[in-house]
Amino acid sequence: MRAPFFLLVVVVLGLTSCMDEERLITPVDLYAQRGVFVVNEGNYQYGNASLSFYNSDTREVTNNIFLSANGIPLGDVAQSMAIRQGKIYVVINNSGVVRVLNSNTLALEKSIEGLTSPRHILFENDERAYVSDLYARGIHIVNPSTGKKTGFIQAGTKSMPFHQHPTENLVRIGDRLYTNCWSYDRKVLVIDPMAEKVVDSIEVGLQPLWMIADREGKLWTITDGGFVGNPAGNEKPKLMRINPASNSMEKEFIFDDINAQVGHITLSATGDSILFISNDIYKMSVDATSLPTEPFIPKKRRTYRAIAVDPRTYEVYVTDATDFINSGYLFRFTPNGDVIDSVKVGVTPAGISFF
Amino acid sequence: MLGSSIRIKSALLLLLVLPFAGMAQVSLNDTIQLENVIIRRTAQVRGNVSGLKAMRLDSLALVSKTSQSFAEMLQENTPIFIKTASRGSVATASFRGTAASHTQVFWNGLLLNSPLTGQVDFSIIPVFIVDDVSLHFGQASLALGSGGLGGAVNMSSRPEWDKKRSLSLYQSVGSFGTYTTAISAGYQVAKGLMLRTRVYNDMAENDYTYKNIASLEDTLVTQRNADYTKRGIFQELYYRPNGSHTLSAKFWYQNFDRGIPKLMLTMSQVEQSRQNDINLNGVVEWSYFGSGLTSRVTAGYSHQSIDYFLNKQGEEGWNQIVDAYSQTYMYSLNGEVGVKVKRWASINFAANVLYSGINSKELILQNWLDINRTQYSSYLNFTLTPVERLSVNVTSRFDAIPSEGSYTLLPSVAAQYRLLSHQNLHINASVGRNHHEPKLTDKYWLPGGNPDLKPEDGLMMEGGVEYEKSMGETFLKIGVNAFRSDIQDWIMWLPHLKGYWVAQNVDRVISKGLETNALISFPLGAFTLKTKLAYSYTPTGFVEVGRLISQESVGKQLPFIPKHSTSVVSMVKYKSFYFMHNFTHYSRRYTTASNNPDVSRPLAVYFMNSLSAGYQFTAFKSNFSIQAKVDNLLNESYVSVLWSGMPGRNYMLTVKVEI
Repeated sequence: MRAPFFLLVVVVLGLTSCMDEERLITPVDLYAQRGVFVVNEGNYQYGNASLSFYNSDTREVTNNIFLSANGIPLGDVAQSMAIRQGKIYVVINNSGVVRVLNSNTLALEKSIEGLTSPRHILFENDERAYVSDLYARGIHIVNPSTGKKTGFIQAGTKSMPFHQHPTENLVRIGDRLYTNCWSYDRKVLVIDPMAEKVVDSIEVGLQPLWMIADREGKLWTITDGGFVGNPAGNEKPKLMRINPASNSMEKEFIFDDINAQVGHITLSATGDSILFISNDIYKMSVDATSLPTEPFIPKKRRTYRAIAVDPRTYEVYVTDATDFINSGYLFRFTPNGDVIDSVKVGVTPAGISFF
Repeated sequence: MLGSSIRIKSALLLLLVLPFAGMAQVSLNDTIQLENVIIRRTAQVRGNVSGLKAMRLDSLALVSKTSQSFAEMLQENTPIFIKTASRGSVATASFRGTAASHTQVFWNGLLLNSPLTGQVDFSIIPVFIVDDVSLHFGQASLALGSGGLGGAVNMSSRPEWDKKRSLSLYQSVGSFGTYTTAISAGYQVAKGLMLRTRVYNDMAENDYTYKNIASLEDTLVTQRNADYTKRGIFQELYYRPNGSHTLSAKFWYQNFDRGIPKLMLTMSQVEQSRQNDINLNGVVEWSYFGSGLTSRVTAGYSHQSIDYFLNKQGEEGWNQIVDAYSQTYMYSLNGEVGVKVKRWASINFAANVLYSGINSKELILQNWLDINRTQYSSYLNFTLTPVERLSVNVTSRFDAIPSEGSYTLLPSVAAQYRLLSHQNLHINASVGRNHHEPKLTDKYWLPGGNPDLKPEDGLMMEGGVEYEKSMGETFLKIGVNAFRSDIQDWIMWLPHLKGYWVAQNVDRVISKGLETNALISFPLGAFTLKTKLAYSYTPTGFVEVGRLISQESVGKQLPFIPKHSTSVVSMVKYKSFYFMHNFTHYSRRYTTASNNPDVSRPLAVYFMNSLSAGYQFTAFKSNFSIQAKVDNLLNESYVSVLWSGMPGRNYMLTVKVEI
């Protein structure tokens, strides 16, 4: 009785095995579908960055669509994406890579590797694109066709404090490339992309988080003002308009609340207003002389993260990061700010792209 | 300036606790700890744990794992859950479904939990320097200190008075360029005066291959930058002028340098990432064991420095991403007195002062923290045996941090009853309160520290039954324990929109479950067979989350905590040969609070087998023992932490010589 018990324990437990999980692939076909991609950051070192696709006709959402199509995770901390000529480029920050996907099947075609901490991508042409970077103190030049790095635009040096200058959004106006320096910085850099060098810089508020151009070719940036204990400082967040002709600040709007949680800015479909996140969502004419007092869309219990306007329908799409560790939400509003739909997406939805 | 401040404060501490030292000289009793029914035979643990669950690890578990880290030893021999990213990397332990910071760790009476992380990295502790290990589950840890909402691990070393001189040499050679060398030398300089020195060097290239499950082709890749070198010295001095008094001094210094490998998902530029840990711990202890009176005074110092950097190759050389340096320090003074006032009653009193601090700098982002605190704790215990078969343990611990306005009383009562007069069948039950103070970084780290944090406050209950029987050379022991810990104000670090994490009290967690253990040992012809099984069922989750995290998390298993964990050790002995099999199992671990696998990939069920065989013989007036061990016997491809590959089947040969 005792010996069989002993042997049973040894043999049964000893032979228990198979911790390896099977890889599942569900083919994706987005041909002729219209909708919205949501880039979900995920959590640092969890590898749970993901893509969600919301079909704006059927109102159905498919989460983890990259994982379904390829059977592997997208990466660690997705930052942004761009769609160009049948390809989707997803910039994965902590993986140091840009994933290049077929835009219909989402099959992974190549990876632009060897980047330090990439943030956004902007295309010059088929053979030349710029990738901003949080820690590289510059902007990578890559060849999207080959997936190789071909150059580098130096933005800062090792003698500069923090990681200055970190580079973020990339905006092309005329023959100049502009980038906001968010992390522990307060600059917008002006770059001659052909000469591959920084030619000027503009002092803005502390930590310019996001930057866009309006229909007049003016730059708008919003600063988050740092935080308590930030060695670079802590100040009230600001919204600013920059004239690229003179590389100077034209307008500066300071938020009352130093702890206001600001987010992205986007241009309205008609181009005469901007929409921005500062706890709530506000809509403001590009010619306004003061900040709006009434929100366009109230915060409620949401944590707004990204905002974008559908150029076809003028509908407003906003992401809610909820608690940053569980599923976030994609909200769809009418052009007047009334809710049409909301769907659950991935963790920390931080980017919206129309497809 | 800081150094002189520390010196002044430590002098003040000495003055503050001298009264306790004086008290210790007039009272006594340490032997009551051994009178513990639940832990009888297999365990003799420090502290008053009658009616509570505590166990002492089998000495074979320690001896056979001499060349391994403490983390590996605990993983293979206990139901404690060990979380580690890869071989040689940081390893933390959790009991009963709680967090690693709820495991209090003591080394020769000295608290080791880092003021910086609140945890202990078990990968840095070599089994080689430990002679005794006891595990205190739940409220049993109150005898050692508060904060162990899960439990406590108590490690100690002891003198070998029966040996005039001793010399032991260990040498291990293993896969992936692993070499461990250790020497222990003891010498009785004079009657009652003993010195013992242990030195060791443990190093590994750690260049194992693993399957990269994040790549399209399931590529086999070689682990890079996971090498480590651990070197240390442990010096002990014991002075026993007579049978009652013992004075001891123990110092342990270690330098542990290791690479931090990239995750599977990292495709960035070439990285340099290393961490160097320097630990210096020292304890001086005086103890008195008399008839009816015991006392002990312990003064300790623990220092740890961690130097961590991460560089990525950039266009103009290395880009420094992180360059962090931190020092933590703890000074403690502890006095204990035990008095046996009646045949059926004893009183134990202890008082402790702990001064701890952090001096931390991150040079790139220019973050720094220089903070300290003084904690006071007193402990009063009555152990009563009103009738022969009943033992009652009434305990009260009072904790205070005056500078933070924190004062807490932690009452607890436990009892055990022998159900049958001629059989070792016991039931036990306890109820009490425990709490866990926010660590200094929870309150003051910038950014994200939250000075308004409340302590985690637990109402703990447990009860169980245990039976043991000896029949000749056959021994059987079996026990079942149920527990429930209702913890208010559970602390979590949660992400913030501005890109950093913030410490928050996330309402209420209930940790509950069942623990079973069984041991059978019996002869079979010339063989001796022994099997030890421990299984824990620990459903632990949020019951309330307030507004801080999604309601999806309510009722779900806490992330990274397995619901089921099992360890089985089976051994066959034949004369001087032994053959041992270790099996460890953890159920699926979720990696997000909502347990939603679409949100974050869960960690697959963990099954691990290892086999070892050993032979002992005598030659040249020396005792030799040889052990061969195979880990990950079935060559599993697995991860213990997301996206960090673990080694396949690997081998280790160890030779020990005792002269």
